[in-house]
Parts: sequence; C-alpha cells; structure tokens
Amino acid sequence: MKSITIALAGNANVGKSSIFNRLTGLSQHVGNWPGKTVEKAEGTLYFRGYKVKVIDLPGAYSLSPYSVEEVIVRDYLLSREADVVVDVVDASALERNLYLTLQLAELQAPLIIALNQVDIAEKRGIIVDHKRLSEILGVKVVPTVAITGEGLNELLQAIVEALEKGVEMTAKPLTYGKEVEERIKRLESEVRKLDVSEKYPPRWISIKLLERDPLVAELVSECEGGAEVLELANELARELEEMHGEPSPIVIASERYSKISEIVSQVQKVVAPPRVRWERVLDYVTTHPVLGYVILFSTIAGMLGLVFYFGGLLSEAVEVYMGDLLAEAARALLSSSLPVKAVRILVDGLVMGFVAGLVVVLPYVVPFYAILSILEDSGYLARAAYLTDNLMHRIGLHGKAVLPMLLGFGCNVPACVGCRILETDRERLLCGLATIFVPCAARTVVVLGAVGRYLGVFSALSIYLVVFLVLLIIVRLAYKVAPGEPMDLIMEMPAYRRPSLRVTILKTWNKTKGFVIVALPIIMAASAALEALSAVGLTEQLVQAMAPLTVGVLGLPAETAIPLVFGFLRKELALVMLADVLGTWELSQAMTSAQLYTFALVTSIYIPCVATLAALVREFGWRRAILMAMTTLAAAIVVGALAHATAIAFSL
Amino acid sequence: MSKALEPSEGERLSKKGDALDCALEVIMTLERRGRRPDDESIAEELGKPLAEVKKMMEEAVRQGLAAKKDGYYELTAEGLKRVLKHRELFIHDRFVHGEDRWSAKVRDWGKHWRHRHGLTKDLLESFYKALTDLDGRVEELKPLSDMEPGERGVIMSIACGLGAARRLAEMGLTPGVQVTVIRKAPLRGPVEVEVRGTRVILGYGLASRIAVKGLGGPT
Repeated sequence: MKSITIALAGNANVGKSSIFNRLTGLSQHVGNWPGKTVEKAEGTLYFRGYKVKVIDLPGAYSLSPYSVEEVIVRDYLLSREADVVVDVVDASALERNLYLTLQLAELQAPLIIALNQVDIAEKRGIIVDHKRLSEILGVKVVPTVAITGEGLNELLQAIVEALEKGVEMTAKPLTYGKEVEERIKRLESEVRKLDVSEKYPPRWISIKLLERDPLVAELVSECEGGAEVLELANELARELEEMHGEPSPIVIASERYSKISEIVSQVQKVVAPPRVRWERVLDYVTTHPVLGYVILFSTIAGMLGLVFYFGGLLSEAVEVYMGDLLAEAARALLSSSLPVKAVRILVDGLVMGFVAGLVVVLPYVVPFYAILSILEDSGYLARAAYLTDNLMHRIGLHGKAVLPMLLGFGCNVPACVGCRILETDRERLLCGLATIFVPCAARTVVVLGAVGRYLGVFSALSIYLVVFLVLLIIVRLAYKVAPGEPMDLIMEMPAYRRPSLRVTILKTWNKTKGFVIVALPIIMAASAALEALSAVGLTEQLVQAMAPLTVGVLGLPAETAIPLVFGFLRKELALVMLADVLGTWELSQAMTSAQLYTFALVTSIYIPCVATLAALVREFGWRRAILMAMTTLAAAIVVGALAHATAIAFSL
Repeated sequence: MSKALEPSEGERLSKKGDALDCALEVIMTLERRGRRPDDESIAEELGKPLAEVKKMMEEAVRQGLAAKKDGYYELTAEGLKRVLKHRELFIHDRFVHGEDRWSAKVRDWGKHWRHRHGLTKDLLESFYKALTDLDGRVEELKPLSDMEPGERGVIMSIACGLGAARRLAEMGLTPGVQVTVIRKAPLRGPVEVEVRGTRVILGYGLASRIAVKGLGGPT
C-alpha cells in the first residue's frame, strides 16, 4: 500500500484539531515533539488504497522564530517530510488567516487550502469565492465544515488526485510592493549563489533575512560567502526601515497584509450584516462587567463541582471494584513464589501505585479534559481571559492563566495540564509554577484537620494567606528570571461556536491516553520505592536522617518525617499518617499548636504529590519539573523555619 | 533626526510653554497640509481667541521659534526641534506613563527610552521618524485604551518592545490599519478591538501604548 503524509497547518481556533480528529478518529498518537514540550498529534487513515499519515502541527499565526510552536511548524515544513500541507483557513476571518497562508506560499510548501467554517462565515454574511481564491494563489481550495465533516472527503480526494497526477502544488509567487519587492529580488540573486539555496527556497531566505530572522541569518552565515550576503541584507533592511520609519519585520508584515487586503477584496463579499442573534447575546452577556463575572464564577464552580462529583464517583468505583480485587489477585499469584518483602513491594507499592494512579488521577483528569476541550472549542476561554486579565496581571500572569489557577483548588494535576492553553513557553512555566502553590482539596483537608480543628478558622485562613503570599513572591521572582520577553495579552477573541460531541470525546480520549503513558509509570515507581523503604525497615533511619530538618529547623516531632515524606504519594492521607505515627487522633495532645501550624503550613507548600510531579514532567520535561518541585520544597522549608522561629520568639 | 533630539534639557514645561508648543504644532500641521499659517488660521485650529494667539505668536517669534513673513508664520530650526521635543514628551507622558508627568526628571532621553522602556536603538530611530512624519497634531493622538466602545481609529504608532510590536503586526495590528473598539473590561482590563475582520483582545498596558488617531463613531 502506498503511503502519504499530510500536515495540517493553521491559526489557532480555526477548527484544525476538529479536522484532525474527524480525519483520524481513534487511531491517534498524542505525544510531544522531540525535545520540546509542545503537543504532537499524529494519526493515520486509509483512503482509496492509500495509507495517509496526518500530522497536526501546532497552531500558529506566523512562522516567526520567536515562539516554540512556530519554530516547530517551520522546521517541520522545511524538512519536506509532508507530501502535502493542508492550510486550514477560517473563512470567517479570511484576512488574518491568509497571513499564514502567504508565509506557507513563501516557503513553497506543497499546499492545499481547506477553507473551513464556511457555514459560520455564511451566517455572518461573508461569502468567499473559493474558485477565485484558488486562481489567485495557484493552489487548490476546498470548502469544508470541520464540525460536521463536510468537505473532508473532497479534501482527501483533491490531495490524492494532485499527488497521482503529479501536479505542482506550490503557490504562485506573489509579488509585494515595489520597494520591498525590489530588495527581495536583489537579495535573492545573491542568495542563489549560496549552498543554502539548494536546500531552502532562495526567495524565502531573502524575505526572512530582510525580516532580520536570527535563525535564518545563522544558516546563511554558516555558508561560504554568507557574511557578505548578510551585510547586504542588513543594509537593505535599514533602507526599508528608513523609508517607512518602522522596524523591518513590521514593514514586511504590513506588506503582507496589504497584499492580503488586495486578495480579500477580490474574493470576499460581505452581503448582510451579522444576524446570529444568540451568538451576539451570548457574547454580550459573558463579557458584561457584572453578569460576565457571575457567569465566570458559576462556570468555574460548576466545573469544579462536576469534575469532583464525577471524579469522586469514578474514583470510588475504581478503588472498590478494581483496587482491592487487583491487589488480592496479585498477592495470591505472587505469594507462593516470592519472599514476603518482595510481594509487599510489588503489591502494596507497584500495584497499589497503579491503583492510586487510576483512582487519584484519571477520574479527575478525564472529566477535566472533556470540560476544557468544550470551553476551548466553544470560545468561552477567551472571554474568561478577557474578564480576569487585569487581576492575573498583578501576579505576573495574564488572563488565560485564570482557569488552571482556579482548577488548582480542586486538584493540581489537571491544573498543570491546563497550563498548555497559554501561548508561550515562558507563560506556561510561570503558570505551572503558580498552580502548584495553589492549595488543592487534599491540602485543604490537612489545613482544616490539623489547624482548623484545633486552632480555629482564622488560623486556618492565615495559612491560606501565607501560601498565597508565597505564591505571589515566587511567581514574581520567577517573572524576573524566567527566559523570554514578558508579554501582555494579545489574543484572538473567537466567535462562539457549538462544540461537537464527537470531537470532544476524541480529544479527551487521546489526551488521556497521552497522559497515562507518562504519568502512571512515575506514580508506580515512586510508590514502589517508598514501599520498599518501609519494607526493608528503613523508616526508622529515615526518621533519624530527617531529624535535623524536622526537629532542628522546623521544630516538629521527629516522627512527622513519615507523613511528610509519604505525603508525597497522596497528600490527603498525610493527616491519617500523622495520626498513625503519633498514635492518637487527638493531634493537639501530641503536638503543640505551633507545631500543628508549622506542619500544616509545610504540607501545604511543598511539592503537592507524585501525580502532580508526573503532570509537571509531562508538561515541562524532567529538568524543569524537578526545578519547580525543588522550589516548592525550598519555599516550604524556609516558611516552616520562619514559622518555628516566630513561635520561639513569641514563645507560643 | 534623532541627533537633534538626543541632548535633552529636561526642562519642565510650564502651562504657558504647553500652549506655545500647541501653537507650533499647528504651524507644522498647516504647513504639511500645504496651507500658509497666519494668526487667524492658527486661532481657528486651536480654538482660541485671536488676541491670545497673537500674543503667543509674538512670544514665539521673540524666542526665535517661528519667523513671520508677510503675515505668515514659518517654523525655525529651533522651532522644529521644539515641536519634536513636545511630541516626544507628549507621547511619553500620555502613552507610556498614563497621565503622570514624569518627563521633567529625565536628563537623557535616548537612555531613558532604552533602559526604562526597553526600546532598542532601531526602534528608537523609527520612533523619532514617526514623530517627524506624524500627520496632524500630536494632541490628536490618544491611547487605544482611552477610546470608547464603538469608536474607530487609525493606528499611528506603537510604543512597545519589538517582540510585542511583531506579534501585534502578525495579528494584523500594523501601523495605518483601522481599528474599532468593541468593548473594554472594567478596571483597566483588556480592550477588545476589531481589526481586519477579526476580533482581538489586548491587555490594558499594551493598548495604552498604541497611539491611535480617532475617526469618530461607527458610520
């Protein structure tokens, strides 16, 4: 069977992932791009005797070298791995979408355009003449409606036909305004003399050089004679800057847009004013200065409620029906052939770790993925960002971070996963760091049980206050040191759309699969390791070894080392473990008020739990995940030590 | 142009100075439009009584900022410098620092823009170029964040870092493009604008650095 590879490229919110999910269904693999923490989704389908591999490229507005996603898209396209690049274009926002199309054309990618959401465009009175667009660009344009799957068959047909007939699929070269075009031509004739022009389109290199693209400049400088070309490029870019009074990247961007305006005026007709009443009402209400916030709060409360209601139900079912059975079966199977300690490590560690992973993580992550997918696809997320940007700005984050942050109150795991809705690496990192400081439900249990119960509500609230202060300080500090330029909110406000059930289910399933592959082994390994520690009788040594920290620095009883260390597995059990090692449920008899306070404070701050760590690894990679975990640990120790010192100073 | 502006006196402009600057702005604007400015046209443009304008212009001529020939005014080199300085201060105070007047404390403007506001040398040069080429009076410019919902305007200049400027351009917010403000979030929240057929939300800080020339309400 012949196989072909197609790549889907397009802006965010154009229905690209809907097309991907429609095309590939369940046969998907969701992972990360090599060496990057950007999601890579691949899938296969069979069409007219072809095995079609589909790559869903990250959403991009441009092919600049300044965001990880855009570099990934660019590198992938330059590798010429894809036989066809399907540019998904939103017909209802043609002008903005063609910006990427023009750059794909510059790159001379083999192109087919899926003119998507033609239904929405039509409802708004926007008619796009796709035949005319095809003539102008010199590539095939297929109208589609991804949500219903309309036009996708024609799209595949067009791809296969073009490949079979061996039609040239690159776009017609577009000419820009005279001043810019002249300079591109001049530079191009020089670029042609370099080796690099055999590998990459010379016109594209020239445009990129005029845009002062550092990555392309590096490529050119490595060639023989590249230095002179770079010098010429700089000189030409300067000329453009002097002429227009704008930095050259802006000049080129304006140039592309003026070309686009020219194209759009030929292919687009706006026949009637918008008449989508429900959409406008919804838009008005959800961004209203009062109603908007009411709706936002209800949405988040509802979301937390749903996640935890369904999560709780599922969680219980899994624990009761599966966990115990599985553990019994494993014990029965292994106890005849292995020593007792090994069985304990395998069953109580590995198997129960697996169960804990399923119980703690999956039931909460699955509904969360589903809801997040709905909020994202419907366009509500952008409204939430609009409403909260101002508030989040004070922490050093921006509006889009509100959702993961609030989710953190329920569970940090989906919160960390949710950070990927942010655009740049820097923002994701800051948001991830912020979310793991948000006290989750499990930590609330400890705070209420250890402090709220014995020291009163105000003491418990003061813990929250301290935790938020720590969050603020840490994120503010990270804001200063994190790599990248701090970015104000620049985000598209997509129109409201009805999300498709099928796409939501597919997205949820495929993302869950991706999560399980990374997170579950980490949870199981950590669980087995800690079980091994107690199985070989090292807990006493652990308590001794930790004493300088627990007793010396934090002023806690030495035994608290156990709940503190094992709390890493499941924090909601930290309180049970504490009662266990103290031998009493009347915590105030075994610990002073100050000790209870310090214990709750430390538990609330240090790295939430192994599942969160696993989520961090999945989202940020090992190095950053460990760095973030260590930050929380350090913060917990410092704050705990301060609390202890204060207690001594005021002899509490 | 940047050279002429570089050495700064860091003078604090008095209210009277402000009015004089506005009058000089008007002369420059009228010249750009191919009209020869006299007392009447300046007064009309400024919306001020003729007597007051006459007095002000006498002062301008006395200070060597403008020259009077056959009843028409012309900016001197000194006057041109003054106008550009005025524009720079206006943009700085209005767009970069909101309503606060910080400019009096600044000694070296080139340094100030670079270090305090992160404008690179290239950006700074294009910024000065934009000041010189400005079509109309600088007082007509206002931050995008100050526009009311429904108001339309043309983006004249963007006083922010290159990274943000580039992203804005990619989203279609290039100089010269027409934008319509859709709505503004309360308490200095983001501004939603329509540009090139799409809606984009911009953080307040960013929106306040985008200089827009108003075109009035929707037609």
